[in-house]
Amino acid sequence: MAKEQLTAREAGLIQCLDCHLLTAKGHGIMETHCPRCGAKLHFRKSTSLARTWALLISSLILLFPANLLPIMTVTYLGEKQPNTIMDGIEHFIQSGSYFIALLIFFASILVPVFKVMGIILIMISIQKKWKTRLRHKTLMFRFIKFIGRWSMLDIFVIAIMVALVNLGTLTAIVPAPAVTYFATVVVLTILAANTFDTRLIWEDTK
Amino acid sequence: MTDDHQMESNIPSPEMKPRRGVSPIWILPVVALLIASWLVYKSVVDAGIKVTIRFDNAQGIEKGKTRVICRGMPIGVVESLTISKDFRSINVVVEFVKEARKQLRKNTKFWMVAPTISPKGITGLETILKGNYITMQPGDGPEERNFVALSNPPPIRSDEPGLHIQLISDGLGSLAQGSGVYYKGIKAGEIQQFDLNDQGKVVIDVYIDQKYAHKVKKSSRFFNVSGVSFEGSLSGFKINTEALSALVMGGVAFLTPEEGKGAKDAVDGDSFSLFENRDLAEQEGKRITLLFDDGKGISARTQIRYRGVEIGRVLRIELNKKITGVQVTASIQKRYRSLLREGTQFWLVEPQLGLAGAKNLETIISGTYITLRPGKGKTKRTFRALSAQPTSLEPRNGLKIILVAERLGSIKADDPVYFRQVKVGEVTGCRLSKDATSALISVDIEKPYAPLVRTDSKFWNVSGIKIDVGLFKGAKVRTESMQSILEGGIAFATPGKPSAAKEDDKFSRGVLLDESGSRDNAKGGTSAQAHPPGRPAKNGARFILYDEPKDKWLKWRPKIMLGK
Repeated sequence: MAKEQLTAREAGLIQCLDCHLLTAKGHGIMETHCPRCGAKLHFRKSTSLARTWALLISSLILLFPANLLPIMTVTYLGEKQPNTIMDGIEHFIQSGSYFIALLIFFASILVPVFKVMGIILIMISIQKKWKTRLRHKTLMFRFIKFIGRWSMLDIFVIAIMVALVNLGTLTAIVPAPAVTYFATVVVLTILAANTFDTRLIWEDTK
Repeated sequence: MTDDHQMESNIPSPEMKPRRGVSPIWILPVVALLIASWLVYKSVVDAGIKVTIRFDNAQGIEKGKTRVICRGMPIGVVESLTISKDFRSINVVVEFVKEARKQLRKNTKFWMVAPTISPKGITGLETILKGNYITMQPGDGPEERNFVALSNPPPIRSDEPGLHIQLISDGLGSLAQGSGVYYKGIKAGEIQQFDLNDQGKVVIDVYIDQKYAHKVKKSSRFFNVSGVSFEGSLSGFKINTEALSALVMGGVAFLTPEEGKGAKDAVDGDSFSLFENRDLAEQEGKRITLLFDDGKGISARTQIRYRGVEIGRVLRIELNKKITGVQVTASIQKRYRSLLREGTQFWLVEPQLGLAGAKNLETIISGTYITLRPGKGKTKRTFRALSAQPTSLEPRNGLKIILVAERLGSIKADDPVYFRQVKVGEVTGCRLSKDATSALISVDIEKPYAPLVRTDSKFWNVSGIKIDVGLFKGAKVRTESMQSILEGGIAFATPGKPSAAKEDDKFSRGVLLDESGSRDNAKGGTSAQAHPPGRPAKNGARFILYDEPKDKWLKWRPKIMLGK
């Protein structure tokens, strides 16, 4: 990456985030809109850092109930057995389904935590103006953005199980409170990744 | 902003104000925080109580699955299982719902419920599907977090609604924990536990269901109904059994003899004695002691009857302390206790075979029994039994007269008294006069025949056969009736028409022996000469008993209207 590169912002240009049209910076204090698609134009996503922080903190808080509360209740022969995410994984390991256990562990526990931690790391590095490994950080962020949606896997597994295993009192699976918290965490982290403006990473890096 | 300024320097710069306020996005973490703190608060408030219960054996206990159920409601779950260091017990950590906090006290008891099949029925069937569970019985004492589980279900707590009473028995018999307590064949409770007391008796704790508790009165009697009881005699055969489960498991039944308004309900802690069987329980009442000279024919269960009706039973027969007699302990039903008074006479009724006929033949089959003649004194508990039936079974209310004889002859109590060979009375007793110069025979003339006895009546002994053999007058056999030949008896005649009475002064004077006063008899003596026969004799009048009648007495034929 060559130094002294001219950024679009320095050149007085704004890219529309929706249709990617490059336009000249507007005049005065008037709001600028994309001449092609009509979207509002910003040099950077407005209040990106604050929004991302808010979403991250929310999801960080909700991670705890999502993991500590039971995510589903298995009724087997009339006996209710609440299961947290970890209980489910443990169950799969015990029954020998290591792959499924690994998958669920990855999607439901590792990824949300990794996402939250990763974005927080990037945000801190921006605010503290740490200028090292910027490229790695960008790669990580892309990965986070890509992997984030897979966390919904657990929710889908439960949704399918609830639909499939429903034999009345004999065997039934009912979602438990943690499902809501877990889904909220996933959605919030996806939103956090979206509100974050990657260009902020490269700000002032001349 | 700086760019703007450079490019449009002639245009007034806008006022630059720092952005104010906080982005509404921050509501989100606040909401998340609120939710989280609410969850934390809830988990703290709802936090279970962890309790360690030591079991001998963890069979059927599963971590996270085995529950603690109280009255059918799960109130805790096994959180972890660890074996003690010495491998002798299992420590089970149970997490209880917070509502259980107040009930986890020192005397709280825990035990495992497993399916059991017994003659009582199948219990704990639900555990087959759901697995064994731990159940508890709340107790008192300070709060406690470490318990030792019981190996068996404990007895029902004394503050459980229902009645908690004790039965005292000499032996446990075939009773066991869980044996039923029956009332009219309905299971009303069960035996909780038993123990020996200081006196060496067995004390059985019994729990009666609330529903039937009011059926137990202070006067209720409990008796053993375990197994089958056979009672056979020539008069019948009886098989008793209460309920099938009592047959197998043993059981106790109770009856309440006085089930009226007056009967007081039993209260917790009352003790009752446990009778061996229903008969004994029914007969239970006042305990009396009878002193016999001889215990022959008496056994435990010998009946005590009054006027042929059973009023009690002999419970025990033993020699007295000095071995000089027999001491019989008997029980008289409470409602007949008024019979137990000073003067009450008891004696044993045995079959009697004699020339005069058989008496009390029924006792050959039903066994001997004890009967009594009630007295009139104060209530009493210890009686000296008579060796034989007293002279008169019942107080007679006929005419009582006394005959004076030189010798008693073969007269004895119960001998008949005849008038024209019709039995009109009985000898009630014989004794010597105070100065031992004569024999006194008490006679009771039945009421309707009392007017036959006049102050001038003549009495003679008709016992045996009188054979009078003379060379010229030939043989003469005189007898009253066959019974009198065998048993002896007394006959009497009263002077009157149609034969003209020519009374010997000497005999008239005999009539004057009347104890009530010589004046009366003097009058009677004079009137005896009159044709309407003499004055009616009064109670206690004395007559001479002749050995044989004079011929003219036999010809007397007075006309006397009999009483009613």
